[in-house]
Amino acid sequence: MPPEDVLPTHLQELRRGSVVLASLIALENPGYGYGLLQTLSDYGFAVDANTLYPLLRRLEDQGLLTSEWDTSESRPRKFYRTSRQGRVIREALIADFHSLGQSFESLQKGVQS
Amino acid sequence: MTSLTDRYVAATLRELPRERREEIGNEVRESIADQVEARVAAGDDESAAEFTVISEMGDPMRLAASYAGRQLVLIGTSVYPTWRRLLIVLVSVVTPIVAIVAGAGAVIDQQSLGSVIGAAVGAALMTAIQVAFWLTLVFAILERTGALAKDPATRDSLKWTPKDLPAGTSTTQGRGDLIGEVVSSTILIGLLVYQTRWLSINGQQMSISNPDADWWVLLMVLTLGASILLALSIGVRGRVSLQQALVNLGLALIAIVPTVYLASADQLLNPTFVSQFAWVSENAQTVNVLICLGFILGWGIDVAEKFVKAYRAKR
Repeated sequence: MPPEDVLPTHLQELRRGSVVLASLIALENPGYGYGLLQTLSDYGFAVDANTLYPLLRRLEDQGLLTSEWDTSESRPRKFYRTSRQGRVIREALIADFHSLGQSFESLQKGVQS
Repeated sequence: MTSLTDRYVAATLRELPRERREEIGNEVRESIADQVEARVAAGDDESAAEFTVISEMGDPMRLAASYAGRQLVLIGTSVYPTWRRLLIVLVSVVTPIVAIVAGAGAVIDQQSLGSVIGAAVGAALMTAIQVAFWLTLVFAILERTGALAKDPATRDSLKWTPKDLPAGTSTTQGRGDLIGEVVSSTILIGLLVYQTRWLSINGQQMSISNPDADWWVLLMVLTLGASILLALSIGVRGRVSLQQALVNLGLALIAIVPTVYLASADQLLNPTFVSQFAWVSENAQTVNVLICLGFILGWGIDVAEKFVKAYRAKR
């Protein structure tokens, strides 16, 4: 692996799965694919359209999102929203994210002392 | 005229189950339209924007796999080690057996030396290709149907355990290989020299090899002696270098070529020795072919093994 790819690869590994949690948080307010894409990128979650759309679809299949087609606009758009089960999963993921952060911090302190 | 988007959507849906096509098709359209709209709002030309957006969406097969949650591999990481181990075992066991059977069949047919070797090599190649193909097909099906994941008995029987570890600890040329090579080469030299002077059949001293081609015995002794030196030098370094593998190939050719030459002219065996055995004198050609096959197989395996070890040592 070329040295300049090492950091991006590790960052990607570390961030893998963060888009799922970010989507479950953002879709507390109903949103459609492209709008969510922009919201996520505004808040620093870079994701490609060809990753996000299939991901939303899988989360819906898992029952974490619900969807309905909105036909009031000029083009029909599929609006997603976090389901009740999605909220449960979301809270568990947030708790795990915080505990991961705490583990890193206490490990660092343990190494330094 | 169909648009680029239409063609892209169609190509994506082709890879997906029928009942999901309509909805996913609408989603993909929505996704492309929204992205194109944003680019046009930013000042892009519409058809250029469509081209860029679809380029970014990427290979439709990849997108469809992502929707379906499918893997884009023929044989995944979960079964790859088992597939590779089975492939090596099957090819290395089945191929030589088929080669010998095919070669023996050609010998029985009284074919020439060339066509016997051709039959054996051809059968070996076809077998290796067939074994690899069918094994890979079976594993690809197992991977796709998830049969390995579903059936605990099959899964456990293919699961790796510490019992599967190879016996030795060496990753290179083993001590056993070295001793085996030196001992077997020494015995062969002894037999070669012994039969020239001290063998007696039916109370009569005679050699098996043709006394008019004594140079052949000398050549065989020299190549075997050189292969002992080579084995020792490999033993000292602890691994096989490419040069040593090439020297070994050279030795093999020096041993094989004159042997095949003499055998094809029926000059390899002592006519007096041959006349003592009715079956040998009646089937002189078969015997010559078998001797040649034995030489080629024996040296061939050794040559191939050294190249494989040299290749592994390099990595």
